[in-house]
Amino acid sequence: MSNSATPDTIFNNTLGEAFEALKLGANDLVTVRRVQRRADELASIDAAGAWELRAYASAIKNAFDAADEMFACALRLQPGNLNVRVRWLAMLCVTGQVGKVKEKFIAFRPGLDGNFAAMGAVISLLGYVGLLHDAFQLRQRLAALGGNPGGHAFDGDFGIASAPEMVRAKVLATDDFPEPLPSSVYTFSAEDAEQVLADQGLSVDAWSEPIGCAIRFLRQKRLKVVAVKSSFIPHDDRATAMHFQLLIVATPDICWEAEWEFCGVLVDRDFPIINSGTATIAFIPTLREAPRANHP
Amino acid sequence: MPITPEHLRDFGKRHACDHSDEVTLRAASSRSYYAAFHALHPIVDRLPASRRCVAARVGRLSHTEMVERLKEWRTGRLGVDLSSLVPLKKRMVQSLEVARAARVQADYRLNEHVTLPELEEQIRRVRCIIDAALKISNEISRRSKPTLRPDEMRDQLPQERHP
Repeated sequence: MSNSATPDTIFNNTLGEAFEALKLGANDLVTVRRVQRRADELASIDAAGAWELRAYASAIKNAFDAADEMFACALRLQPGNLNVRVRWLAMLCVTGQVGKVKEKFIAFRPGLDGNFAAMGAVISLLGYVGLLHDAFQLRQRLAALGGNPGGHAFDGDFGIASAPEMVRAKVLATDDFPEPLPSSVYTFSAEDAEQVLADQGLSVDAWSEPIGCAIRFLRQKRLKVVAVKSSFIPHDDRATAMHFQLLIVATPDICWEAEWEFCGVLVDRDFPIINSGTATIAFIPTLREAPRANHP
Repeated sequence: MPITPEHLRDFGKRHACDHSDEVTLRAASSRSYYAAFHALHPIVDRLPASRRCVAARVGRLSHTEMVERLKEWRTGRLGVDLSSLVPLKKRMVQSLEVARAARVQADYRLNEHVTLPELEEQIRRVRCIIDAALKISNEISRRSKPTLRPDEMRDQLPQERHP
């Protein structure tokens, strides 16, 4: 890092790098050391930022409990900082820790009211891990408070066509413009969501369990998820189901191998929501196969 | 037979290219699913009606009925050889459900984009389903008899019924 870099620059650059490593699932010791070194650089001028960077370093090493403790330290130093809360949720989301996302969302929810950017970001994060009921409720609250919930209305369904401001709107990442935070796109109605799950005797969070499992599975494979799309799929002879598409930075062959293997994982895990056909999960590639043309 | 499931699958493959518009991508995704559906049809048609699906009561082999029959089919009871195919059959069913969801999305969800990568994934998915179906079918044929009659197959299934 250049000597002229400001603390904010150091923090933001390191944040982007840390999230890339977290999404990729790479237990990369070089990145860990770099993030820790930046944390040490920041410690004397931005203690909260330093704790947060240490949290990312721990999370990259898959030491998630330690990461949570460090995030808690950062939050104690800046109790009013909603961005820390949002990024804590983001860290939990990209690492597939759905249970903790739910727990932290409940804890953070009261402080979100009124901050439209933070609310929008959390809506997108909740969608990313399939916590669609909470996402929808928060989205309704955002609209009631006068914020722009984004997306368009389609006959009672609500679509978030692009992710809110704090989470970049672009769905696909490129080398030039990597995404620091995850994004999600979804269309659903609260009534449908609740009815579908009630019909199946399942909790409103049931969708998130296999999604979290998929995110963790893909991290183990070092495959990066850049977005999660959720769609209601109507059926004429059974309850409406949810179709999740995880957009992955991989070529079609790699992506397909992962999806087929994951079908086996779902069989082993025996999720009721999958067995009942109320949720399906597809992996979608974002890279093309290497060209076979005669380029030098 | 005028056309085969392979023709439907080839339609999908032929249109999985950069210059296809979204209408074509949707049509190709949908036809690809039907390639899997028709490839499985001869196997599933010989299985007993499912316990859960409404369509089964009127003798119709709907999409849901196909999945339910495959789920209820206790492949392992057919013999030691086939018991090794149980995990394959379960994966195939999972994948069939995903392919169906992609097909419904392509046919009915006009407010959502269907992209070339999604079609490419659908084609791979369908190829794997057809391969799995073929493997299961061959294994059944390879066993003691060339084909199982419906009553024989039914005999291999558990007789108890849920209310």
